[in-house]
Formats: sequence, structure tokens, C-alpha cells
Amino acid sequence: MALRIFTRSVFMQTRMPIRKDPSKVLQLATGEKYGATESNLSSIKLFLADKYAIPDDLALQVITHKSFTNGLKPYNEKLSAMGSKVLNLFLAKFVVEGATTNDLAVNGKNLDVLGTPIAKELGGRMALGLFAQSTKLNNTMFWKSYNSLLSFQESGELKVSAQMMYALVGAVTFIHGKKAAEAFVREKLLEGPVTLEGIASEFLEQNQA
Amino acid sequence: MISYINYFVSYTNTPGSCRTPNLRKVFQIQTLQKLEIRSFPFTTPNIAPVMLRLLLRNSRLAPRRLPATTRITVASYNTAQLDTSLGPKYDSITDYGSYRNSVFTHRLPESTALQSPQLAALHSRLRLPQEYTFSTLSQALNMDKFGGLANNFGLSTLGKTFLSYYISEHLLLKYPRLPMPVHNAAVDAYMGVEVLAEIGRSWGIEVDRSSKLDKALAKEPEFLQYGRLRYLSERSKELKAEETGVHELSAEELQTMNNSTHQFVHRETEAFASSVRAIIGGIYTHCGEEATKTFIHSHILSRKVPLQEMFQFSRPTMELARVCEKLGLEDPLEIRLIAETGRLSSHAIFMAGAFVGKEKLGEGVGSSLGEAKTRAVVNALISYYMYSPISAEGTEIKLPSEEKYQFEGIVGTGDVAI
Repeated sequence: MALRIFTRSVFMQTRMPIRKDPSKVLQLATGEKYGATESNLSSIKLFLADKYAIPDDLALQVITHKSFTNGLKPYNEKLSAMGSKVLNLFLAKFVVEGATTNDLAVNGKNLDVLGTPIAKELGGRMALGLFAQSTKLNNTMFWKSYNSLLSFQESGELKVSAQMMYALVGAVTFIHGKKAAEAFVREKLLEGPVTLEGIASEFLEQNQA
Repeated sequence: MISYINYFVSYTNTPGSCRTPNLRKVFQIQTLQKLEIRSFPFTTPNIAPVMLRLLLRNSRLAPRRLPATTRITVASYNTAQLDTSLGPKYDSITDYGSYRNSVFTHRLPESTALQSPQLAALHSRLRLPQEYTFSTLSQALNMDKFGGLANNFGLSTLGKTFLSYYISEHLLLKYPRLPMPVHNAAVDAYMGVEVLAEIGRSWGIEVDRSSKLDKALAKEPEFLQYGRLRYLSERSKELKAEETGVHELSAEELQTMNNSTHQFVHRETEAFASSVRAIIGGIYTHCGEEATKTFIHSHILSRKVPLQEMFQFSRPTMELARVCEKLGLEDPLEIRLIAETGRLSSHAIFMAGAFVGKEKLGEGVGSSLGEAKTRAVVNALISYYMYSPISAEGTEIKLPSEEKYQFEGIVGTGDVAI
């Protein structure tokens, strides 16, 4: 029997869900509209400067969280996955490489510091979130809180801000490579008026008190 | 009655409680309301039944929607805590060089470690660089916390960080569109506890199972134990006889117990995995990052991981439609029948294709229209998710940790919500 070949539509058209007005969905409660505009990206661009500059669409992805428009726009999950790994690796090397008085050090590297609260919190969510808040990098972020009336931590802003910071490190890694990303972390996150070290140690001291 | 209602409000608003009011509590309140109404001091007996009827008809007796109070459902931030069992000492929080775990008294002298044939064999088998000392290799095999010798915790933590980065870098660059659950499963397939333990066993690492008494009776030289994996306490070594099929869980194993699957990580599995991570950490301390990266690529990333088999789609057609929407494709997604044979026979075969306009995204063959359609959609989804970019020269793209890196791939834009 000869094979009958023809083309026709079996069934199925994309079932269109109930749509909201895109202009309302793509807008924050504070008025900022989604897009790679200068006002949205200015704080990120200023922080990165020319040395660590990233394309505008990637910068927009950095400040967009999964919760915004139900994940329909490119968001920062993969960027933050990369950023958190780079950051943790660099910080692990950073804490073990200094001069030490510990006689148990392996080849001059003090491994006893690993696993301590400061080693964990340096790259932790709290330090990164507070850093973003202090440097006002989280002023424009496209995300949706389940209750924006709650505090910085309870509304989820801390978590989203920290994820944005990881994504920023991840974006620099993708565009400029690992070495440049490590230089970026050292220069921008560990030196200057606001540092991860300062935030984490202050936070831990308060916690211990 | 008011106090009962307040109790009800506070009950439903405690952290972790569900939104749905507890029906038993509602029932109690209703009963109390009715009891109070019945015991209302009516002066005229004739009016009482009428009022009671009116009150019972009144909707106020139904459990009313109570005013919302502040719900704190967000778990507070879990700050890392100092492990006091290690006796940590330090001058100031940020003086990283001053940290010392006082529970450890010394490291194994290199002269003792050099006498161990197991260490020499392992060193040679793994082709570790000359700079990698035997004492560090011995430390990587020591999980004992209270023996005085420095254990492998720091080395293992360092190794885990390196593994975590290089495996993530590989997956994020080579397969940028992998959905996060698959990405995480792939990371686990490369550096999960079970996998690393298998690698450790394949490296020929032995476990130190003999007690001090056995060693003394066998006149075993002391240095032999330093080439073995040490995680068992003297008591467990002495209690060798174990009922077949019966295993008493230790405190560490209980912590790893998954209540839904009733699976746990065996201490021996964890010990093997820890030693593998520690050996990798040791490479960094003696030979630097480049050697660590090479070791990870040749021993861990060289393993074949079937990513395609990790996918499981619950609603593939909707997922594909959402992917098309996210990509901003203008034409709608359509499933078209490409070919068929034997529709009226008992062995019909249909070939369907998933199309967007004139572009075919995937095709599938099945014995029914539904099967062919689902196979076509799944084929399209896997083709999309398993995409791996190549460089302009047609070679594999460079990774961020490589020299002269230039970004040529794509960055994953995130999964679609279904």
C-alpha cells in the first residue's frame, strides 16, 4: 500500500490564556517601565564602569527576577547560578591565602577558616542583599513581591537583591571571563567604602551580641 | 465569645499554619455561639423562639471572614553558626589567618606518610604532581574529628567549591538552555555524594576497619593506617558483626534521611565522597588552580552524563507553546500530520511535526495521533533545551576560565512557567 503523504492540521491552536494589558504588566508599582532604558540601567552601568561593561540586554536580564511577568521575560536565574559559584570560589581562595599563624596550615594556606561563619557569610545572601541596598544597586529591579508592605527581608527584597548581585558577577564572568570577574569582586565588593567584609562582620557581631 | 474568636484568629495566623481555617475550631466556635444564644436570658418566653429563629437565620452565625492580621510566613535568615565541637579560636572575626581549630593538635609528619605503601600507590595511580605531599594526601583520607590529627574538613570544603564552579561553568556554557531542575540534576550527577563515592572506590581507596587491638595482634605497622580512609570510631570497628539487612543509623545518617523516599546517605558513602573532594582541594593547596581544573576535567567532567534522559515533561505541549511565546515567535504553534499509514488497520503509524509557520521544530512517530503529537512536541522541546553553541570556527566554545576567553555562546534566559 502506498504511503499517503499530506499535510494538515491535526488539532490544536495555542490556547491563549486570559491576558492582562501588557503595558500594566510590564510596569512596576513605582512607575518604571520594563526595558533597557537609561534610567533603568544607570545604577548598574555606573557601578560596572567601562572596565566591566556588559551589553544593555544582559544588564536588563541582571535586574529582572523570575517573579516578574511570570518568567516570560529573560531573567537572571542562570546568571546568578554562575555568579554565586564564581563568588564562592573567589572568596574561599581569598580567606585561605593570607598570612597565617596556624601551624596546621597546608602549604601556607589556613584551611581552618573554611566553614566558619565569616567564611560562609562573606558570600551569603544577607551580605549581598545589604550590599545592594547600601550601594542602591537594587533601586530598580523588575520583580514581584507577594507583599511589598513588609520589611526588606520579609518582603523577599533581600533575597531578590542578593540574587541580582550574584547575577551581576555572573554577567561579568560571561562577558569578560573568570579572571576579570575575580578582579571585579576584589575591586568592587571587597574594596571601597562599602564592602562585603564590613557588612558580614558587622552582621555577625550583632548576631553574637 | 470574643475571646474565643480572638483565639481563632491567632490560631490561623501563626507562622506555618495554612490559609484554610481549621474546621474543627470553626465548629467549636459555632457550637459556643449557639450555646450562648440558647442561654440568652429572655424575659418573655413567647418572643424567645422567634428571636432565636431570626438569629439562626442571620448570616452572622456562619463563620465570618475574619479581618486579616499581619502574617509572618517568611522564615528568618539562618545565620551560619560556629562549630564549637572543633574548639575554634581566633583573634578577630576578619583575621582569617588567626583561625585555628584547637581540637586538632598536629599534622602527620611527611616522613611517616612517606612510609605508607597505600599512599604511594594512590599518589601514583592518580598521577598527582610531585608537589602534592603524602601528608596532605593522608589528611584527605582522615575524617576523624577527635584523633588529634588534622582532618579533611577544610580540604573537602575547598574541593567542593572548586568542583561546584567548574561543573557549573561547563554546564552553563555548553548547555545554556537546560532548565534549572535538569541543570541541578546534572550537577548532582557529576558531583553528588553517591557519584563521588563511586569515584573514590574506583580509585582504590581502602577503609581502615581494624581496631587498635586487631592491629596490635596482627603486629601491623602504625603507618599503614595513614593510607586508609579513616571514619569509623574504635567502637564501631570493634562491633564488626552486623545483622544482614539491619543497619543502625548514626546521628549523621539520620540527618540525611529523606522522609519521602526513606533514603539516607551511608556514612561510608559520605566518607568516600569527602575524601575525593579533599584530594581535589589538596591539589589546589600544593599545585594551584590550573592543575585543579585539569584534574577535575580529566576525572569528573570526562564522565558521560546522559542529560537527555533527565527530562520529564508533565505538560509538553503547553510548555512548548510557552517557550514559543517567550521567544517572541510571531506565528502560532501548530502540530501537523506529515504522514500516516494504515489508519484503519491494527498497526497504524502516524508522523506528526511541531511547526511554527514554515519552521519545523520537531517531529515524532507514534501509533496514534496523540502519541505522534506528544513525541513531536517532546522532540522539539529537547532540541531546544539541549542546544549547545559552537564557536565561529565550528569548534567548542571557550569557557570563562580559559586563556583568551571571548564570549561566543548564549546566556540562558530562564525556564518558562507552566
